[in-house]
Formats: sequence, structure tokens, C-alpha cells
Amino acid sequence: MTQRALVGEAGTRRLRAGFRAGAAAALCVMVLAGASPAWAAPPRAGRPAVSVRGFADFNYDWFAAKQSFSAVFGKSTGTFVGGGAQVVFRTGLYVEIGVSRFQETGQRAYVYGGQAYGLHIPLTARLVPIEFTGGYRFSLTPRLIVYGGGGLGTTQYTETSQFVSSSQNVSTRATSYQVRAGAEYRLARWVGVAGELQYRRVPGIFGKSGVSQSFGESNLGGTALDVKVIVGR
Amino acid sequence: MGERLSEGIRERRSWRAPRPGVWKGVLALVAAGLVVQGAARRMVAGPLLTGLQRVEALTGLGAVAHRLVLQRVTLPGIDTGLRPYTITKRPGVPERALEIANRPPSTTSYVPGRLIVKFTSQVSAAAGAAILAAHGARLAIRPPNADFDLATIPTSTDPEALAATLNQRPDVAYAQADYREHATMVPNDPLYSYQWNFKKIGMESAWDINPGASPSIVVAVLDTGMAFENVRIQFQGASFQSGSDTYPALGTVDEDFAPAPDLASAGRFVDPYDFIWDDADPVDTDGHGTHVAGTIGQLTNNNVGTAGIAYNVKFMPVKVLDSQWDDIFGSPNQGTDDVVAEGIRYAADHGAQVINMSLGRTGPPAPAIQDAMQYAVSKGAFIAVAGGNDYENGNPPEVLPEIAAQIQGVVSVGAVDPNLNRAPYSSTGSYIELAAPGGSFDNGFGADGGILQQTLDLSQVDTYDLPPAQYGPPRFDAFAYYFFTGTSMATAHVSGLAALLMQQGITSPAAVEAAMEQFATHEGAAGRNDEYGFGLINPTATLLGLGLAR
Repeated sequence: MTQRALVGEAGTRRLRAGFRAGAAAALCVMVLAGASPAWAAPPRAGRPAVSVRGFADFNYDWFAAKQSFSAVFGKSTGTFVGGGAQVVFRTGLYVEIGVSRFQETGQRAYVYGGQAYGLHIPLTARLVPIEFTGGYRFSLTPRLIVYGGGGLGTTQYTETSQFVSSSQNVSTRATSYQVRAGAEYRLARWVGVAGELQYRRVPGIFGKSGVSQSFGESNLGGTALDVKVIVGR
Repeated sequence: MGERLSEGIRERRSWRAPRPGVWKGVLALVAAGLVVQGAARRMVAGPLLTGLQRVEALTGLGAVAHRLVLQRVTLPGIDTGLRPYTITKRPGVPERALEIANRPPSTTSYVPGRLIVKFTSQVSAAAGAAILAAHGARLAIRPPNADFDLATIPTSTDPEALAATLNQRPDVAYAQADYREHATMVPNDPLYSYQWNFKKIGMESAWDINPGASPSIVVAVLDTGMAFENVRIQFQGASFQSGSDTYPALGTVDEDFAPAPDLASAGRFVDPYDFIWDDADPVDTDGHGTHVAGTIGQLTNNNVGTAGIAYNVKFMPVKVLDSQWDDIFGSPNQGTDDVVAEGIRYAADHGAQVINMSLGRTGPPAPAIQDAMQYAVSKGAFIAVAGGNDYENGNPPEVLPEIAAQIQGVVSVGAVDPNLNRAPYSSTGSYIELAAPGGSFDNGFGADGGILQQTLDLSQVDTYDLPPAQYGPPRFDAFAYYFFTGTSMATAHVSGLAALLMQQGITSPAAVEAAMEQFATHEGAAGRNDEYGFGLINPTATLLGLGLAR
């Protein structure tokens, strides 16, 4: 119990650090945005100076730790579901916070000579990334807006297995980095959809032990195709 | 004819009929109606190994075999008196669906949607409810006989994270997820309390993960045979000389063999073969092979005798070692390199996934056995080899373990005593790869410092150790529980674990060895060492394998 509490406390400190770093990154993006690059589309007349929007997103992820995920889940892809909020400035700058969740149950494994042997012991992994992104948006047509950005986040990772004592299960958090680019299509005044490509890097959780160490895979992130449903202007 | 193999059965051959006073070490186990004989079986080398010499003096080894199978008896069925368990099915609902509907399969170590909370004594029920409500939880019930509350939380909420948050509050004594407990399997076999060896390597939690493997796994026991069948066999007993004593010829004797009651069940034995007598009746005329098989897979949770590690596997009895009775009866073959090599290839060709070799020798290399081992591994068989019992005899290099160290998928095994220190007899060398309980009667451990299993009632087998006037035909259909010591016993632990791992999903012999070595509990000097190899086997950790991040 004491150990768990200590781990949780450390994790909280890391989380706060992640938040601070994310906020700093977003602030940098905002400052840089003040330069208004020449290629940015001019602010559209009638658009508010600042708009706040909410979104739900569905994220199909190709994990970078391909062999590790395949060994445990039989596949190296997964779906994140989440949501968040965006603040969009008339200058084209936007900042975003998003939270999503992935959970999958597979089996523990043993790796020898590059081959994984499934052990039929249930293992459930859960990933909860909280991401802060800043970037630019510019309109190609009145309804079509393209955007790109990057930022920091924090990813909570938990791993529980049957027969494994709670102290041997994993509950940890690490700073993540992501870049993304996509296009938003305005369906109506208050509703839009967006598709984006995202790359997330999450070092510090994988590669130290377990199957991920056996395969030499240290990035818990991956490449994702993200679909957002946006409510707001 | 190659070198003679006998190392693994030295502890057996060192036994003599107990003298008056030695019986102090005999434990009468009234409940089982059996005798556990401990202190009488000592690890003494050299002078006591006289049986073979006696036989060789007066019998023409290699002469025509005097053995005739007279009668086969079908293993009788056992009426357990149990009634079948019936499941009440809902109309139209398949059995499996009902099971899932009643209780979802567990994917977490805790129950989702539930939290255990205890507030400090200053917190009223209303205040506690308010604290929980602030975190999206609500007070559910206070269970009877409890001084804590159960809270209901949304199933999407991580109870471990919420517990960590609540534990930071000064008004919360503790909060925790409601972790699932599971039964730790403790066999109900009445002599299990004597099996310190299983407790020391954590078999009870290992059995929770894998309860005894399954009949899909076949373990070949290359040894002195196995008490596995009801059969009557006719032998010709020759006379022999022992020191100044002449033992008379027994002439024609009809010997009844029976399966060891705590080992045999219907369909348990497959493809038996006897390379000492060249037939399909590898009956045990010594007791060593039956004892070794018991540690690998004695019937367990049957309210009888002792437990075994992989108690659901099938056995392939392969006799490659001759006993003193085989020699007295004039067996055509002895336990030599060629016989052992044949036995290994036979086991591999007949589908054994694990081969136990509680045997060995010192001396020149054994390329025939090395080739056979490589062949068996290439066919998917893992092999466990005894590390040798000769530390106190000058610790000469052991030939088979040296081979084992060169082949990934073949493991040489040293022995530890009840304190998990290297057993005094256990050979050391660069070839020792793993350690397992082999027991010891020395250093104050006494009678029950050995490894207990059922085998032949040796008081009725080893009549050649009695004075000539009391010498008579042996009985091979009576059984008792004995403490044995030796790397033979340690090897059987590794074979049992290998069977569990094979059934669990590690199907490559090389991977089985790697897993055992990776998860072994380190003993002795840092790194791999010559006493314990990579360490003491750790069945639980090995069966659990690896998670993604840990």
C-alpha cells in the first residue's frame, strides 16, 4: 500500500511537470503565431476573434512497438476513443487539449530468439494520453481548413495481469510528444469533421523490461489516423 | 558397448537393509497405512556399490535373457463415489453463455466499479459520503464484519488511481481497489506436508497458474523403468557371490508387477519400451524410476500420498538403466551409452515433449548420446539431465551435463538441500545450469530432508542386501513412500516444470531452457556460478513470463 501511494505521488509530480511543459509549448506557439506568416490565409470576416470548440475523436493507431503489441494482443494496432477542447484564434493559431483512452486484453508472453510464445495468462493494458497541441489552421475554401501542429502530453500506462501481484503490475506515466496534420470540413455553422494524421512518441515506459525489452522497443507511441467530430465555430 | 551409466541411481544402490537402531529414522504413517523410510537411505558411495560386482562375478552378462511375460491384467476401474456436477441451464442459453452471463471473465486484478474505503474515526457517514461524491463515487454498503465501507464508482473510473488520490487525504485511513483473491492450491494429499521441496520453489502459486499441465504433454522418463502396469513376468534367477557369501540361484520365479497406486490412472502411460530387455514392458525392478516419475507427476489432489508437479501429464516409461535384479535375472542389455542414446531417440520419435534423464556417468565423452540429444531437441523435446552426485568423490567432470551445457534445450541440474544451499553431494562445474531441490540427509536435516515420493517397497525388493539365509525373490507389486536424495530428484523438478511450460505455450525446448534460466532465483555467487548455475528454478515467475512493460 505504501509503495502504491508513493508511486502515485511521483506520478502526480510527473503529471504536473507534463502540464507545465505542455502549457509552455502552447504559449510558445501562440507567441510565434503573432508573426502571422505570409502564407497564412487572412482571417475570415465574421469569424470571432476566439472560438472555443469541443470535439470527440476516434483514433486508429499503428503502434511503434509493433512486435511487443503483436506478441501480447495478436495485433499491432489499436483504437483510441476520446475527446477534448480547442481554442481557435482568428489569426489561425489554435491550441488544443485532448484526452483519449485505449484498452486491450491479451496474454502474457515469453520471447526467445525473436519469437513470442503466448502464455494464456490474461493481460490488460490501458493507455490514457493527455495531449496539449498548438498549431496553425488556414482555410483553403470556406468549408475546408487544413492545419498542422505539435505539442507535449503525458501518457498514463497501466498493465494488469491475472496471477500477478498488484505490486508487480504496472501503473506509470511518461511525457509524450506529438505532431499532427489534418483537414477540417465544416458541415454546418457549428459542426465540423476533421481527419488528421498523428505521430506520437512516448519514451520511458517500454524497453526497460518485459516483452518490449526483449524486442528492443522503447516507444509506446505510434502513428495514428484520427477522426474528429467538432462542435463549435 | 559404451560406458556404463549408473550415476543417477547411486543413491538407490547405496541403500542397505537397515540395521537394528537405524529404524529410528523410520516414520510410521498410520493414516496412510504406509511406511516412510528416511534415515536408512543414505548417500554413501563406493564400498556399498557391490551388487553389480556380485552379479558380474557369477552370472554371464549378455547371456540369453530369462524373462517371459506370463499374464497381463487390465488396470481395474476406481469407484470414487463422486456424483457428477450438474449445471442448471437457462432454457435456450448455451452452457458457456450462461457462465459468461453470470460472471464476466476477469481481465483485471480488481473488481471494476468498486472501491474499499476506510475513513478516520472523526469522519461521519455523511461526511464520508460527501468526500466520495466529490470524486464521483457513492457510499454503497458497510459489509457485516467489516470496519470499512464499499463504495460504488463508475466502471470507467480507474479504482487504483482513485484510491491513490483518496489516500492523500488526511481523513481517509486507507482506500484501495477491490482486488480479486484466488485460492492458492494446496494439494490435499496427506503426505504433502513432508514435501518441503514444493513449498520451497513456490509450487502452490505455480499450480494456481497451471494446475498440473495436461495429458497433451508426454514426459518420457529414461530410467530403471516405471511401476506402470499389471503384468506377471517369469525370470531365471542366477546365483551370485557377495564377498565371502554365496547367494543361491532362485531358479524360475514368477514376478507380479503392479502400477504404483499414486502414479497410475487410466490412459496415463504411452509407448512404453524396455531397452534393457528389448520389449515393451519397462517395469521397474529398482524403484528409482518410479520415484523420479512421482516428483514429475504423482497424482495430486487425490487424497492419497504425495503430490507431483505436472500431475496431469502422460508418462512414457523408457527403461535404459539396469537394476541389480535385472543383472541377477540376466538382462541382455545394461545401461550403457548405446542403450541410453537409443532411448533418447525412441522418446523423441514417439512424441515426448520432455525427457527426464536422472542418470549420468563420468569418464570419456559420449558422442552417441550427444547426437541423440541434439536429435531429440530438433524434434521438439526438452531434456533435463542430472548434474551428478560426485562432489564428495573428488567432483570429477560429469559427461552428460557437459553435453547439456552445449545444447540449448538440454539442461543440467544441481541439487539443493532444504535450506536451499547446494546439497553436499551435488557436483559442481561450469556445466551446471540450474538448481532444484534434491534434498539432503546431512547437516542435521535427518530423515525427512530428502524428496518424498511413492515407489516400490524396497524392504521387499532389496533382498540381496540380506544375509544369504534370508535372501529370496523380490516383490514388485508392493509400494511405500520413501525419501530419496540426489540430483536425480532435482532433475525431476525441472522436468515437471518443463512440462508445465510446454503446456502453457512455450513449445520450443531452447525457449524452455532460456525461460527457466532467466527467471531462476539467483543463489550463491553473482551471475552464473558452478554450484547453482543460473539459480534455483522459480516455477511461478517462469510460468508468468513477461508483460508488455514488466
